[in-house]
Amino acid sequence: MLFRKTKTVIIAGASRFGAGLAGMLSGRDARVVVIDSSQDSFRKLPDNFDGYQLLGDGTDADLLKEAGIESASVFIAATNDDNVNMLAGQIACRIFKVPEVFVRLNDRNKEKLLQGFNMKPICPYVLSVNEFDRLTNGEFKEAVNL
Amino acid sequence: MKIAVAGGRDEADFLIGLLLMGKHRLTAINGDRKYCEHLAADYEDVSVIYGDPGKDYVMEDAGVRGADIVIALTDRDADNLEICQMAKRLFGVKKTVCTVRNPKNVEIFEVLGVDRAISATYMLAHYIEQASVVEELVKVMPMDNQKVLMNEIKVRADYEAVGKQVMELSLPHNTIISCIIRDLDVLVPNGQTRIMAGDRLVVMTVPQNQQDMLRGIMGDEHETECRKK
Repeated sequence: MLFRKTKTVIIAGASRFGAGLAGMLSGRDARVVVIDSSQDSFRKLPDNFDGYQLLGDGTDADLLKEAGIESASVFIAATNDDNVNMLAGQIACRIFKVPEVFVRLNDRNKEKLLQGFNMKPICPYVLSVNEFDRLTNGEFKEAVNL
Repeated sequence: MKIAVAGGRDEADFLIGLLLMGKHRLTAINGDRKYCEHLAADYEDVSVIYGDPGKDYVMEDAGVRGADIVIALTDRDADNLEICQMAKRLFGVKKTVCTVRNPKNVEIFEVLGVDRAISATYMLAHYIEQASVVEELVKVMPMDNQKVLMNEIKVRADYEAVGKQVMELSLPHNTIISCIIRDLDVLVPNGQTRIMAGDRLVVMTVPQNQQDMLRGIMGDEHETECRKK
């Protein structure tokens, strides 16, 4: 391909989830920028990570601009704090109009606050529940529905 | 009015004191048990709720539904935003106000639906700037996030404007002398009003025209002198 379009993906928070995602995406022809306020967190990035690391607050508008949020195609808020993720996600979605925004939430109740905007919540515990269901081949499904 | 104050420490204490003077119905929600006990002991007329104001069930229990104002004072911007959005979207609160640490968040929060975001750093920096750039002949009060400045100027005998009518002054755009305090009287001037030494002028202006406005009233020399000090 002559005109390979490289997407910019910004990940706020080098948590296990954020760092893992960054490692996966950096191998797939995307320009990945990971932001975290602690230098230590970057150690979680895998050895083959070839994206950018940016030290600072992922909810700071100027820092996000530096990360290239104005031309980013995907933004993932992946810190361990729900409220920080919601703030970062909303800045990306509503201020900078990033086309695809994902927000990691531990508390599913907070999904309500994201409704009506183009932000997709990712709830680890819901995914774990589904995984359990898959591993047990739906054995307990009937019981759950009761 | 029914007002809920979420989080905060010293500022919450002070604010609650102020609001109580205005005969409002107050609820304080705080995640610090000791602080809640202190509030409950100090203020008789305040309902104090111990719990994380970022949780919807705590807010529900605190009776935030239908409150007129929710004020979020926690020390993390993200938490304040969440509290305000929850108040607005889930509980139909009419007005939300919060403090922010990062001055850049003032505008962002207002876009995200918080009615008023206040940054102490932002305000302080502007006050200090105003206080140091402009000498004490002029008292300045910023309004609407520094978009408008209200200046109080004491007219000295050797000022440019003395003896002139308002229409004769060369004032920049977006500037108006909104009132003149002369001895004990307050007058709202029109074009024919003559300015006298000893008057105090209340002048509304935008920040970028402040220097020009001062030049128009004080004259060149005083304006430069004013800036030097």
